[in-house]
Amino acid sequence: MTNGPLIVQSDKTALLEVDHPQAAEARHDLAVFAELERAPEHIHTYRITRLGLWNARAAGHDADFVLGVLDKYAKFAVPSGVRSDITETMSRYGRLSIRKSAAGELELFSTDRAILLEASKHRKISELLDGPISNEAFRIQPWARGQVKQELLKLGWPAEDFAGYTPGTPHEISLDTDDWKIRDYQTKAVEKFWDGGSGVVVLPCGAGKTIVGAAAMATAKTNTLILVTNTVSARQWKAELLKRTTLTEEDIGEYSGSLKEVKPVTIATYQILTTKRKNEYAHLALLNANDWGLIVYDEVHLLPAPIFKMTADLQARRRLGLTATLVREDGKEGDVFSLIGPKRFDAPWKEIEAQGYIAPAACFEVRIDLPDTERMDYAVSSQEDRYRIAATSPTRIPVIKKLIEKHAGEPTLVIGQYLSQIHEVSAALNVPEITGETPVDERERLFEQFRTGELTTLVVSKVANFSVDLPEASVAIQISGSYGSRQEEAQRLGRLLRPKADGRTASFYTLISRDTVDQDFAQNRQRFLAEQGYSYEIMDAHAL
Amino acid sequence: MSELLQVAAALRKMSDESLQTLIAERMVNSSQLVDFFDLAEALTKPASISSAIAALPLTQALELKSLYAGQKANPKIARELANQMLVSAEPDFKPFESTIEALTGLGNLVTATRSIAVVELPPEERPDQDRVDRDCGLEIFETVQAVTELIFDLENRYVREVGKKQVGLPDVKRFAAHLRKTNDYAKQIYELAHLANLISLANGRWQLSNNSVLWLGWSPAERFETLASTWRKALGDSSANELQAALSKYSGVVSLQQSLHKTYPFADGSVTSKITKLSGLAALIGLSANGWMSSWASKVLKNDFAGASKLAQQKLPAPQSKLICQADLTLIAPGPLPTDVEIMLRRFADTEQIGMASTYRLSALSISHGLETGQTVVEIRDLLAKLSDNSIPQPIEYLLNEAETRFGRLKITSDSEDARCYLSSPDPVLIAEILNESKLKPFALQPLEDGVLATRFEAEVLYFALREIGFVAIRVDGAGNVISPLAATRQIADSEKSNSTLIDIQRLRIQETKLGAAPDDDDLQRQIQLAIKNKAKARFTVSSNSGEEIEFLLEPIGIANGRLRAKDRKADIERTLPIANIIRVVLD
Repeated sequence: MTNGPLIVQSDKTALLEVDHPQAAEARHDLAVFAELERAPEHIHTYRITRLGLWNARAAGHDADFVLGVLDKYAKFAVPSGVRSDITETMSRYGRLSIRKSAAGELELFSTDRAILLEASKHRKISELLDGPISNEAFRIQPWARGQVKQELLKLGWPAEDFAGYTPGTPHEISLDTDDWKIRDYQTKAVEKFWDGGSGVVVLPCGAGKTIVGAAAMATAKTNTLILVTNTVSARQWKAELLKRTTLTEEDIGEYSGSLKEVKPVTIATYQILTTKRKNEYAHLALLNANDWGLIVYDEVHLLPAPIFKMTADLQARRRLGLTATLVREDGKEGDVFSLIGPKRFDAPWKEIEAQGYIAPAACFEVRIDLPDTERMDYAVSSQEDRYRIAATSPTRIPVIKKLIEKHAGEPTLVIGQYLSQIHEVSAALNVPEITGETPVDERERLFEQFRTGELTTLVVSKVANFSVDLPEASVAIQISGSYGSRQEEAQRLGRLLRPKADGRTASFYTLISRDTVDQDFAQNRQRFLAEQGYSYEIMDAHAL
Repeated sequence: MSELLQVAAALRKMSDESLQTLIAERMVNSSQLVDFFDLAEALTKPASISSAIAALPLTQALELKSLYAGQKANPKIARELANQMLVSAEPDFKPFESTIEALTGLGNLVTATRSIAVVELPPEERPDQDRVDRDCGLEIFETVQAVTELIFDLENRYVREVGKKQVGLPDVKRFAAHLRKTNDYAKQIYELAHLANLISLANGRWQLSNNSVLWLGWSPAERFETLASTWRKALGDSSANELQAALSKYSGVVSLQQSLHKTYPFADGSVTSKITKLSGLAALIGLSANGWMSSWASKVLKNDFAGASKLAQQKLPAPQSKLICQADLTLIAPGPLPTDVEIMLRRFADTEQIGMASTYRLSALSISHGLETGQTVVEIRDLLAKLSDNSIPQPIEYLLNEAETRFGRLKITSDSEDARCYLSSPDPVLIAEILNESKLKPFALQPLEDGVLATRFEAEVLYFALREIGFVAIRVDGAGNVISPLAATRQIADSEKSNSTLIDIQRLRIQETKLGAAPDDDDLQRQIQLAIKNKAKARFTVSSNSGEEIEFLLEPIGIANGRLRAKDRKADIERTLPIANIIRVVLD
């Protein structure tokens, strides 16, 4: 037993005591191979995953390095099972590689014939190969680079990809830093991404992921395709690129439902790419419409399944994923790893907050007692209806009013899930609403009024969950949500995290009906943020 | 007399104590046996015989080989074989037919017994003893934790017996997920706890035995001693002595697997074999790691459990009284807690992760459990404040206050007179919600007067079902006092007995008495049933009306109206024989 800050458990989690003098040093070393799973106030939990270990191997570290780090900081002996598992897992990385033959063909290569045969005989992989080239190599179908990597990862033999990237058509892009400065963590994120080739950068909402994208483009200096969640976000990206880089209007195109421009830098929505006509993706050609040297995926945790498939064909192009959370409610984190790339940079939210780059936020769960009549309706209703009954109770309106009164003058977002509830609340508060039905121009007008302070309160549906930049919003009242979605909770809090001019703390309220499924869902929703160090104070509505 | 009759007869003559040892050593599930014939059948099954032979230590194996070759018996060792029902009783000591069959299957091994050579690793390739001990220490720590978790799990949940003394897969999976281990590991922990008599089966449910109460009060050292002595008992004296003798020839770190191979020449390494099980258990309780023996394992072989424990303690993490309370309702112990603190904490907090550092989670249900066991919110708050360096976060305070205010809002009472139990609450909406809960429909809850529901199910079953869904119910007695879940799960001393091997043996004896003076009649019927079931030929000796004995070689088809129907292949006819006239059956 030593006095180290780390406890390595036999289930391959590692618990780090944050207040320990060696904690910062240990965190730095752990980040190389372990995933930060939870980061509440005092103890951070890391998980040593296969993906994490392979990331470390990709970065040139071996099992001795990993075990050395664990031994150095461990409070108790590292379990032998964990030791042997780390050694075994790391030895699997790179035994197979993808490279280009002298003739320019893609090949799957290994000096270990047994592994090569195991892989090549695998049903799903054999379909992607085109026969042996030699005892040490198999030809890969020209279109199958991504799929081969995906399948090899599933098989437990992740391949190193030495086949390189197409440089794309050069296009001059530089950051225009006359009136602003790129932050250290943003520079580090871009460096890590660039060194790794492709991969994902994880940063909290409001921490400037767009700047990371812009800086990556300035490093690549090539034609770039940016994929975003919706048109409003596309326009915000465009505005931000115009402001932060040397790019001009002529350089940037929008490819969305309303516009179909293809320019050296093109911003397209996921929706347009997944639009089908006659059962075929109508805009697939965009992916090859230009010789893209870089593809940026905004909000990569929301990447729709068809885009994964398309991405498998884009392995020759550098790919940068940006997100606030790698949590995918569909569990497709492995696909993000093999098709976009490994996580290249991550920083706990509270760490960025401590540096003053995102606003501090206080979270409150307000428990509301339903009146007996509503409780009885809830009690006798079916399981499917219960959440809606609990979450749309009219008793929420007076609570919302009280909270708005408490924060009078502060830019406030009231965020809900159900349209009828949004209409009701909007009418009761006499403030405008924004939902999916609101035309894009109208949405932009209302958001602009909110930014300028002309409007202090907006009632919004999930359309405002992500990629909407409302820097001054400092109060959010969540009145209903998508059941237990953790990433939605994170995104909604993210709306408030832009640092405020006066340095005030943001307030995030979530309204909960006591003793209902709403309370259970709330617990699940809060998990991600609790793991990022945000704690909820619990309040009774009647005590407000 | 057929072998089954011979074995059944020998079993009848054995003392209860010898039978108990036999049943334990041959790993027979005695709970389903009806009579000695069943036990004989279980013992002569080829798989059972092979497993028993595989578990023979060297001297017994050599003796069996010698008896098989028709050589003179060494009475002392042959008696041990007879006690295991592998050879007939003295003075013959003849291997049973089923033993011979199994030995024939092991032909090469039998001839090679004396010349078994185990390839040993050169000293430089053996691991460092200190490292082996360190790994073994971790295993002890984890297993002791897992067993303790199982005890708390059974305190909080209703786990049914499935099949013969088995745990249902959903319960195994849940427990495994809780431990963050494999299903096989979870099953091993059940097996170990059962073997150590910490848990037992009563009324179709896995329950805590009185030993589990002691376990919770024991120090880690005492807990390890219990597990070590359990393993030693399962190994048996003769095996332990031989193993010990074999070990004395080596110095340095020793491979348990190699030693076991040497000591058990017939061990086949199959998953079900006793040696495989013992080897697995040794690894589980930290007597070996990766096959290498800890420095305290030899003390366990010598029954020196205190000595073993003293050595092992040096490799166990030292307890520390520190707890970190977090706002997400988790409590983290950054090292093992002292036993008394751990027990108190586990009463009001569920474990989320166990290990060197353990994570606990508070919930309305977990706090209610603490209050039901007699803790108070003040005590809980004091404990958290004392152990935590930081102040108690607001959400924890809120939860404690809410749990205290709401405690007892849903009560279960039972009425022995009308064999019903009642669920009551002053909150009619809560009652309506329970009535509408689909998962509780099987309870057929009937609304009585305002705020009361009734069911024919036992209070305990309803209590656990409500908790499983998330309703915080408590049980109260006639005087309105809260019934502690500890009392409810541990009042099983009587039923505990009803599941012990000794009571199973008593049952066999009672059945014997019922058969009266003519047990052979019953045996005959069983032999016939066995032949029918296995479509086997048997020689039937029938007494004719003239008193003459006639023998037929028949294939029995069935029994009806007191007559046996069977095919006589030789005569190419179907015969029906009055069962009353059959005086002997020998399976062909």
